[in-house]
Amino acid sequence: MTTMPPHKIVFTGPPGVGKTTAIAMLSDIPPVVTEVAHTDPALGRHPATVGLDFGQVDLADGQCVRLFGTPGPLRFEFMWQTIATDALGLVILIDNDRPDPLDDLATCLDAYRQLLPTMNCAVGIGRVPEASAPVVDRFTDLLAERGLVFPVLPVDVRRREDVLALVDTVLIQAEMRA
Amino acid sequence: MIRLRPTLKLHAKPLADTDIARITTFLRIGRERLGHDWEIATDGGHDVLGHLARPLQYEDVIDALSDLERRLSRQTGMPPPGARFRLRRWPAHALLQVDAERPRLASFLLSARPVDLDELARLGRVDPSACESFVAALMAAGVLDVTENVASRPDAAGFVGGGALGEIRRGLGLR
Repeated sequence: MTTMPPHKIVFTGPPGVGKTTAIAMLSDIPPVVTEVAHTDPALGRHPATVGLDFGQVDLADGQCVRLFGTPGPLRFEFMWQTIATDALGLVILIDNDRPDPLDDLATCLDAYRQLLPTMNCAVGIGRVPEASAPVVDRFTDLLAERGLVFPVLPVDVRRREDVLALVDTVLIQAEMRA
Repeated sequence: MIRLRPTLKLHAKPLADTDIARITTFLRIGRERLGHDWEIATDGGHDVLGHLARPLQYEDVIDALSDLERRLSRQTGMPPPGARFRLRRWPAHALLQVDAERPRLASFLLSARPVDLDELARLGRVDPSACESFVAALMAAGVLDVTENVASRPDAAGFVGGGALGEIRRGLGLR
């Protein structure tokens, strides 16, 4: 039996965007979460992840893919790039219902700028209203302004197929690099 | 200049058997091949699309037809035959939501290594006509880099879905 190095897929994004939920949609084990209640209005109504979220997808022969969720608050930005280093892929989740979702994406792109040129990456836009086309395309425009071309898809992190669609595009990028 | 019958009809589509038969007839014109200059014209001879020097050579005909196919493809917005494609930016959401397969197909077009239509169809496991219409839409939207006359390269479809990444796909329930 050959043992492949453990792969990891990292979910990142601002607080309350659904990273923990996205991991739970895919994980074969109950996800390890570090969400806490808070009183910081800047973090919104949702609990905030203050450490790492962790999930795991079991593969044949006892191997696995590790799923990591980064802590959302910006004060943990120093951890983001470290967590994503050597990742198979990075899924950036953005909540379109936050005050400035484009700025949220810009913050992520800044934080991962050293990794992105060689990273398999996808961007999921959550809470997209019905008239979604122009909304999603604004995020694509922001990527294009920075010379980046990544999949940008609307996502409902409570739907496994939506989360899988993002991961699928990440795997395709990895496969095409092989 | 002498225009001879039969006149070729050219279509920016794969040749049907009847068209192949027509070309075959065209090439069996005996000594007429040596005695005339030739034109490739639209049906009825309204538009001259190309000239072929005397004596008519098979390779010249094929080259002229290939060139015409590329030119007509551009005019009709269809992907040029044999061309390879790569996204220069992610397509508009309206273009992708037409079909659930399109985000996957677009992802294959992110590769640093451009892919052609046949390869894209194999990678995405979709009908070639679906790829063709999608690529045509991407071309019309101006988000695609098109490279023509490139040497063939190993087909990526052979290794996508295999190895460690294939295991991950199976673990996630992805095809």
